[in-house]
Amino acid sequence: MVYPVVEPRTMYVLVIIAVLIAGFVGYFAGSATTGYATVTEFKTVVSPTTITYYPAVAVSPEKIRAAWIYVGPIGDLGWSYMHDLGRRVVESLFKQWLETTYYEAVSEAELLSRIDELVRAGYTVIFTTSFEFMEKTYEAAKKYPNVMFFHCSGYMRWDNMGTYFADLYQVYYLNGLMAGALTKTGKIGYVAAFTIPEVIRHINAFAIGAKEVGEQLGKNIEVYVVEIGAWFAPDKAVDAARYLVDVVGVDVIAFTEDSSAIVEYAQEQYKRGKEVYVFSHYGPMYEFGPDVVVSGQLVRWEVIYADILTKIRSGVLNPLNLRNVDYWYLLNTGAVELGAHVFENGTVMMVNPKFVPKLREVVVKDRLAGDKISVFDLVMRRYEQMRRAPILQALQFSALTHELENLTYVDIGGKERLYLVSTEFDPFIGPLDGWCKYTGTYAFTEYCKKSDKVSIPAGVRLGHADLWNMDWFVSWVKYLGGR
Amino acid sequence: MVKISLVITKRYKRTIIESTPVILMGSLLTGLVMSYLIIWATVGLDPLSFFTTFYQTLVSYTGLLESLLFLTILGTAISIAFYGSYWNVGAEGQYVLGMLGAIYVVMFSPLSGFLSGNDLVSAAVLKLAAILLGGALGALWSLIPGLIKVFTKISEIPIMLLMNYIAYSLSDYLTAGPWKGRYTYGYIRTDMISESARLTVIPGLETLRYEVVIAAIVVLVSIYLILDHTLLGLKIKFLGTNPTALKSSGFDERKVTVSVATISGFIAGLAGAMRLLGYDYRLPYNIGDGKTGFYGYTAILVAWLSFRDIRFIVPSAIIVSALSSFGYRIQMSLKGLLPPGISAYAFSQIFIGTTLIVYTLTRITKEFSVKLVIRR
Repeated sequence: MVYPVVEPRTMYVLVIIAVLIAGFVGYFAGSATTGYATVTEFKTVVSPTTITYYPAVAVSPEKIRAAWIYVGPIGDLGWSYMHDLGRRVVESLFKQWLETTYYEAVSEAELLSRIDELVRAGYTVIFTTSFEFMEKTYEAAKKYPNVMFFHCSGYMRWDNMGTYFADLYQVYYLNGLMAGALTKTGKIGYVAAFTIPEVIRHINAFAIGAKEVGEQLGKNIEVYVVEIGAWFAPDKAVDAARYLVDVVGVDVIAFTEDSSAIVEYAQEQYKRGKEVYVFSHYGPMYEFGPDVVVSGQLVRWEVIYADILTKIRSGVLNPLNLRNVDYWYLLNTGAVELGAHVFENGTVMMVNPKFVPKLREVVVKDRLAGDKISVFDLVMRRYEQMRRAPILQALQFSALTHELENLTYVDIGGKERLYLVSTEFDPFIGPLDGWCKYTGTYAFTEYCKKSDKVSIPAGVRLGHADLWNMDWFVSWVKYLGGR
Repeated sequence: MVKISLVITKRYKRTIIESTPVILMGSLLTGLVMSYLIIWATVGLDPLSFFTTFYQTLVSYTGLLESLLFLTILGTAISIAFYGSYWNVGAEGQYVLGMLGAIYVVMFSPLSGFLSGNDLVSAAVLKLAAILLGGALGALWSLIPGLIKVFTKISEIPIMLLMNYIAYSLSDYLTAGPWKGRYTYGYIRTDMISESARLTVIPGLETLRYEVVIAAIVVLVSIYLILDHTLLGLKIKFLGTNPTALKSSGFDERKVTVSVATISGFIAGLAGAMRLLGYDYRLPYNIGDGKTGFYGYTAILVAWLSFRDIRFIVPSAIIVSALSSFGYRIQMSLKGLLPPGISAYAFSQIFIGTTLIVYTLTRITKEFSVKLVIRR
């Protein structure tokens, strides 16, 4: 058996010597590098006196050091990868005054330690990109009042903490139109990370699109949802997809999970002679399933990052005025896009060419215009209808103006009279019927607090709060529970 | 014909690499150099920024202290078990059980109702009860494989590993079911515990909590005292080194094993309870996906590095937490060298890995001589 043969005294001497050596080596290594200047800089930043002079600095910082904290590895090719792509865009674009860094695969438990390290290293703008980071980011914002925090997808804000989100529901609707045309069984699967309002919104929009086309083709459209309880869990996602295909019998799958696992699964099925179509999520995943990816949802976080950083650089945003900064960017801003592939020249392949002839063959009636049109043209028409709303982007910047987003027109008097505010089309315009996923005290919307059924009258366009809190599924969505 | 054989013999003479601190520091330095060489060979990082980053990791000690404290508590828990040949690889599960006990007391027990006032005394009672129940559940979780070992002679190791997963699943079941939060915005997770039930942040050292610091010191000192100054300690050491002698001295071997299991599990449960009350404030879903920080497993490294010697727990915990923190920091230096979009995360585990390999090899050569014999 092992017992130390050294006297305790000898041990402590040795440990002290080792620490001293490490100290000396580190000191000389540190002073020899140019990086040492950084250390001096950080001392200024963390000293308590900083707070007193901050407002002067906040007017227009010469240089900005911004850091990103990702929940998954950037190699996920989905959520975190796209945030990092956004970081790379702004870093290259603003290289004269912007320095960036990031931490990846950070868990909620270690978030505060990572933030401490970043602040100590002199980063004054920190983006935390997971809903799960919300409370801890809020805690950090109160702890470091001179650092600006931006939290993606949450709702907690403070003087120095803003929120931002690029929402994909309109793109999901467009993909739903294609899903409705392509499904043979009428059964469509959806693998959800969590059934939080964001994901419910996406599922509903997808289901609304699928039904709009599928119903006209005589299909009984039903969307089956499996919840896996994790954002990044390729194995669980594939398990859920396999269950949906083998047991439930779906032939089209959309998903909210941060990896390309389901796309790869579908491609594998295709090689075995079983056709399951998928829609890629967040990242361009076409390459993982060229035979099965119809289209997908793409995000351009850089649209928001560039806006935030420009506004910080020019002194518009500072650690005292972020309380109402709440980006909610939709298709009209370009922060989200329809497609599953980005070509080398930077343009987007909106629909996989393999599926274009099929989608052109299927003809349906546009329920707005009343004319006969191919599904492919319907997708493009709806896309354009949701792209055009020039004044909307200004309203999507602040929590104070969100309530105006669903105004179709505003009456400005004179001979012009009606001025178009919102988009010409939106998937969430009544009539819509649904059932509450959360009811009573667990509900978020007024509809579900009162009843367990939702009925949106014809012509009513859901507002920001309705969308943001969505806690009900449209009636043809079936929730199969967790797997 | 050439015959090659590997001859391993136990050493009876002392070697130069005999002393624990030398092995510890030697492994650390060699491990660092080796991991540097690996990184240099793959991406070509300059030595200066590598070692400066390591130095900065050690200097910015506040980040280290948090994991250092938890690794110290859990490392002590595992060490005392190792002393008594009770191979507690189940500290992770006991830690989770500690979390469950703590959240039950502060959120769901009858106690939480009438102690919910803001006065300091009732809050202190609530926290103490939560920590103690956490410890008790940890002890219970460790006692199950302990009793199985004592009565059936089935090894505790596989049972404990399985029980870690049972603990994860139990936590997930409660989080998704009866304990599912109301204010979680549709997420599967529990609500946060109330402000008054949280541990006290040390001003100026925001990553630390008073209660955790006190607990670490108390646990370390009391285990040291138990081992060196009590009959129980003597029996535990006997059990670990010469169980036959323990039996022939008239002591019940089984009782000693059971008490080691209980003490070890209690401390691990304590750590879990404190983690929940001081840092996490809630139970997440899929807790097994690294949401515990895998402290219960990492602490095995600490116990293993410390040579089952309580005095080396803290130095070992420093090394392990410094290396994991270093792994995170080096990502920053690496990201400029990697092609954009390629993850630097893979490199973060390299340091603990290489250091442990060197350590294990040195330790083996300390006890055994390995010779390659070629005969014709």
